[in-house]
Amino acid sequence: MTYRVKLYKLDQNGAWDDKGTGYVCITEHENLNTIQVSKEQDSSNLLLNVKLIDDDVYQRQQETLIVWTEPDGENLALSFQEAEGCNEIWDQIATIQRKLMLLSGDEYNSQLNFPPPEPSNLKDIEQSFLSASRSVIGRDNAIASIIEQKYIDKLVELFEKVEKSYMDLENEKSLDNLFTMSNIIKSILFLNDASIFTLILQENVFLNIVGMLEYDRDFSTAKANHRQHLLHHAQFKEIVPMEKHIVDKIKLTYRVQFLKDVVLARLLDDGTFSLLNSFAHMNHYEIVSYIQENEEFLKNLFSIWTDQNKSEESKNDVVLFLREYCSIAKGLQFAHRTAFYRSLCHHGLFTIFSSSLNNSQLAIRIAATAVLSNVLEHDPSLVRSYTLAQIRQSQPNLIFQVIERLHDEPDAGVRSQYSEILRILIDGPKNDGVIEKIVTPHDSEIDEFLNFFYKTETADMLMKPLINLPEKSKFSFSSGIERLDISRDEASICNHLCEILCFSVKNHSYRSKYYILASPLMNGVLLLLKCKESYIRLSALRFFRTCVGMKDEFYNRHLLKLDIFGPIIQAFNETKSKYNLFNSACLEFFEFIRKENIKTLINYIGEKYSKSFDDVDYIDTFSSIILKYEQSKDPCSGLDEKENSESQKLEKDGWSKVDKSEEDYFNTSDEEENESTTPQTSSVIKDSSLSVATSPHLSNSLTLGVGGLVENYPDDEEEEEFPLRKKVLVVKSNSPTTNIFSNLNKNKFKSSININNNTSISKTVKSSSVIDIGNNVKVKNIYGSDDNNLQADSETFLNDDNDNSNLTSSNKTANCNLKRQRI
Amino acid sequence: MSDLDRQISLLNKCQLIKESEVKDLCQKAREILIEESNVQRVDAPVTICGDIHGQFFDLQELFKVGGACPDTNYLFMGDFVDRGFYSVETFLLLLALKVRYPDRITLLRGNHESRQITQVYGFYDECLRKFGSVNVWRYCCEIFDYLSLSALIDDKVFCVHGGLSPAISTLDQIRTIDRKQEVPHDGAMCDLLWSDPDEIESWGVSPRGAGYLFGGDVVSMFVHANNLDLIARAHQLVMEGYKLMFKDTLVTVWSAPNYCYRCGNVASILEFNEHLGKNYKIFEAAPHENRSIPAKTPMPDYFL
Repeated sequence: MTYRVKLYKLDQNGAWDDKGTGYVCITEHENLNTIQVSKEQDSSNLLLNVKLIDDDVYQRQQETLIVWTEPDGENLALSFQEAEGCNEIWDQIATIQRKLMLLSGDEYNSQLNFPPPEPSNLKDIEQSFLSASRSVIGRDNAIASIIEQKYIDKLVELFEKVEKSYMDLENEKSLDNLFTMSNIIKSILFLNDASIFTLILQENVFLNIVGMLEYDRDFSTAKANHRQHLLHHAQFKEIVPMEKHIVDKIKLTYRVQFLKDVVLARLLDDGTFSLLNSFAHMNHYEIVSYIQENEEFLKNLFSIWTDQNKSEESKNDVVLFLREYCSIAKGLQFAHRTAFYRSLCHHGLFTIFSSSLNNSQLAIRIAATAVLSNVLEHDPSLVRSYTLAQIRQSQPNLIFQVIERLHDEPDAGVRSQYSEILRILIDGPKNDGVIEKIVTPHDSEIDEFLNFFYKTETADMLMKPLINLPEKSKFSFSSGIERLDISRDEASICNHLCEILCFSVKNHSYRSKYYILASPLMNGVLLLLKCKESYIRLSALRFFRTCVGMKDEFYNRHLLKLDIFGPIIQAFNETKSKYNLFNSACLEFFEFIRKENIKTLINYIGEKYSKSFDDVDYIDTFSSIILKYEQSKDPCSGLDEKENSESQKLEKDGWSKVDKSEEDYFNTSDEEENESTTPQTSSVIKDSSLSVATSPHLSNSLTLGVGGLVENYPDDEEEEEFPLRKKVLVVKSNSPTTNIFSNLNKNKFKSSININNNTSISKTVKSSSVIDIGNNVKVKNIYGSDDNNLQADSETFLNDDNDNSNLTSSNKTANCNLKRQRI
Repeated sequence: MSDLDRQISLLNKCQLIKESEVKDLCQKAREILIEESNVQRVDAPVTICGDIHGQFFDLQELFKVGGACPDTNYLFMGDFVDRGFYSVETFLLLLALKVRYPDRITLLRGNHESRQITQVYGFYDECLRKFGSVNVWRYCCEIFDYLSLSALIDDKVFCVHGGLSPAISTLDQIRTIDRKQEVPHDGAMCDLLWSDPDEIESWGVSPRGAGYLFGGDVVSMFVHANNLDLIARAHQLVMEGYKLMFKDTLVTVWSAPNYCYRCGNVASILEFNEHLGKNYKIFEAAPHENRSIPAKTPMPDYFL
C-alpha cells in the first residue's frame, strides 16, 4: 500500500526544505527494510530510499507527520496527505521494529516485569510506567503486561492500603504515596488503550480508580470528592424497567462521561478524549436503538403520562427522561434520527407538550421546551404536520399554545426559546412564488402552515401585545421626554415580536406584506420608539429598517402614511448626538435611504423634516438627503440626466481643486510627510468638507462597505509614500438609481481621498482605474501587485455611460489577478 | 453590601451566581452597553488587555499584576469566553465589574463573543453543564450583541479585537454600523473582529476564513488618516505576551498565559499613563495552588 506524501529535509538554516511529492511505502526483506518514496510522476525515480532503523528514532507529530533523524544526522519529515496513511505507515514501522528487536535478541522482553505492588516500591512503579510510555514498543508491552498480570487489580488493592495508611497516619510521606499512585494511574490511562479503559470502567474497579485521581500533586492542598458524588449523589432513575444489560450499559456510559468531563477534564489529550468520546457515542447508539426498537418500553413510558393514577413526579420524570433521550439522539446520523423521532411521535411524543409546557416547575418547562426544540431542529415538518392535523380536527393546537406561552412565560430565557421555536416553525421556503419551482409535499405543507398562520387569527393572536399597545398605553415624562410605560416583561415580549416580524418581512415576502400592511400592528411598533428601555426603541427601529430594506413601495407608502419618520427623528434627536447604539442604528438607517436613493422617502423627509437636522453637523448623511430632495424638486436639475451633467461639472471642479492640493502635497518634503498630521493632508480635508474634526467620508465608504472592498495602501514605489487608495467597488447593475456624488460629497470624495488624480496616477506605475459615472456610480480602481505585471501605464477613464462593461482589457486582467490573489 | 457587590465577591472566588441573578445582571449591563459608542471613547490612564478565554485564575493573576478593578481602569479587547474551563465565571465577573464601575472598565466584543463560535468552542457546553440549561448562554449571547466594537484612548490609540477592514478608512465609518447583531460572516463588523496584521502589502485573504490580512501600508494609511499613534489589538497568540509591528504603529496584546493550559506562552497587559506613555507588564499562568480543581458538576440524577 502506498500513500501520498511530501518529503521535507531540514536545511542548514533550520528551515524545512520541500524535496518533492511522491508515494511512500515500506519494503520488507529479510535483512533489509527500507522506507522508499517514489516520485509522483515517475515511480521509478526514488526521492528517498533509506534503511528502516530499529532504534526508536521515529516520531509521530500531529496527525499527518512522521519526523526522524537519519544516522548521518540528516533530519527528515514525511507529511501525509491523509491521517489514515500516516497511521498505516506508522504501524508498519512499529511492527517491523518489533520483529527486528525480537530477531536481534536484544534485552528485549515482551513481558515487562513491573515491581511488585508494595508501598515501598511506588517510586519504582511510577518510573517503570514512565519509561515504558516513552516508546511505541514500550507502550505496547506495558499494555499487554498490565492486562496479562492483572496489574490494575493489584494497584487497586495497593491503593486501599496506601489510603488507609494515610487515614491512620496523616503524615506527609503517606500523602506523597497517594500522589505517586495518582501519577501511576495517570500514566496507565494515557497509554490510551481501549482494553485498559474497559478494565478501569468496570463498576467495582472504577470507584477506586477515581479515588486515586482525587489526589493530585499539583493541587496538594485540595482533594476532589469524586467518590462521594458517585456514591451519594449520582443516581440512576429507572422509570420503566429495562433489561439488565442495558441498565449496565447506561451506568457504564455515565462512568465514561464522568471520567471524561469531570475526573480527567483538566488532563485529557486529544487522543484520549476522542477515545472516550467514541466509547460513549457507541454506547449511546446501543441504548437508543434498544429503546427505539422496544415497543413495550415506549408504550409503558407514555402510559405513565396518560395514567391518571400516576403521581405528578413520575410524570415529570417522563419529561426529564425524554429530554435526555432526545439530547443523546443528537449524536446519531440523520437517517437514524428520523427513525428515532418517528417512533417517538408514533407513541405520542406530542401529547406531552399540552401540559408540560405549562408546568408550574421551571425545570420541567425548560426540559419540555428543550425536547420541542430538539424535534424542530431535526425536522420542523414533524411539528407542523402535527399542528395542522390538530387544526383540521379543531383540537387545541400546539402553535396556539406556544404563542400563549410566549405571552405568559415568566422566565425570560424560556420565553426567548419560545420565540426561537416560533421562528423555526414559520421558517419556510425563502422564495415567494416569483420563481416557479417544483412543489414537493413538504413545500405544500409549509404553504398550508403559513396560510394558516397569516390568514387566520394566528398571527393576530401572536401580535396581540403589539396591536393592543396603542389603546392601553400610558405615558409618563422622564427628564422632559415622553416615555411609554410598559413592564419589563411586556417590553421583552414586544422585543421578541419585533424580531419575529423582521424575520417574516425578510422571508415571507407577499404573505407577510399583506398581513403587516393590513394589520394595525405598526402603530404599536411606532409607540415602542417611545419606550423607556432603549433596547426596545432599537428593536422597533430595526423593524422599520427591515421594511425599508425591502425597497418595496408598498411598504414605503405605508410607512409614510404612519409618519414613522416623526417618531424616529425625535428618538434620534433624543440621543443628542451621543454616539450610542441607537444613534448608530439611526445613522445606518438614513444612510441606507440615502445610498439606495429611495426617492419616496427622501422626498418625504426633505419636505417635512428638512429643518430637523440643522443641528446635526457631525455627519453629512442628512444634508445630502436634503440636497437630493432639493435637486429633485428643482425643475432645472430634476431630471436624472441633468443631474448627472451637473454632477459632472461639479466633479470637474472637484478635480481642479484636488490638483491644487495635491500639487501642494507633492511639494512638501518627506519629513513633513511623516509627521502624524501633515498640513497638506489636513488642508485637503479642509478644502472640501464642512466639518474638519469629524469629517466622515461616508459618501464613499458606505457605498463601498456594503458590496465592495476598499484597499488602502501607500505605493511602495513612491518615495513620498503617497497614500493612494485602491478600490474595487461592486455595485449591482440592477440596483436602483444611485448617485453617490451629490455636489458636496463629490468634492469631498475626490479631494480627501486623493484618488484618480492625474498627478498621482502617473506616479503610481502599476495602477489602473476606471471611473464610470452615471446613475449608477461605479468606481473601479484595481490594483495589481508586483508579480502580475500589469501594464505600466495607468489609465483613467471618465465615462458618462451607465454601463460598466466599459472595462478595458487591462482592467479585466487586473480583476482576474485580484481574484486569483484572493482565492 | 449590595447584591451586586456580593455577586462580585462570589464571582471573585470563582463561585457561580444564580441564574436569576445572571438575568438581572445582563439586563443592567444592557442598559449601560447600549449607551456606548461603536468607537467608545476612553481616557488615559488605562490598562488594556487581550484575550482571556475563560482562564479565570489567570485573569485573577492579571488583576494582581495590573491592580484591582476600580483602582485601575481597564479595557478588555474581547474573547472572554471559550476554550478555558471558566468562561462563565470569567465573563460574569467582567460583566459584573462593568455594571458596578461602568466608567472604570470597558469591554469590547471579540470574535468568540458570538452564538455560532461559542457553540463550537466550549462556552455553550459550559453554560449547559454549570446551570443545567442554556438560559445563561442565551442571556450572555444577547449581551454580546450590545458590546462595543472598538475604543479610542485619548483620540490617539485605537483598540479593536481583530484589526482593520477594507470597508473602513475612518473612525466615523465605524460609527454608522448597527452593531446589535450576531457577528456577520463578512463586512466591516466582521473584519474588525476577525482580521490579522501580516507582513504583506495591502490586503490578503485570511486563513481564518473571515476577515482579512492587512499589511503595514494599510496600517500607516489608517493611522495617518485618523491621526492616531497606535492601533492596539488582540486575537492572536503571542508567545512573548505582546508584539509590535510596522514601526511600532500596531501592537498585539495577548492576556491568556499558557493558552489552553498547554501553549507555554507568557501573557501581557499594556498600561497607558495619563500622557499615553506605555508600559508592558508580562505575567505567567497562576500557580497551581491558587487554583481550585475544575469542578464540572455532572447531573445528579440520570435516566440514560
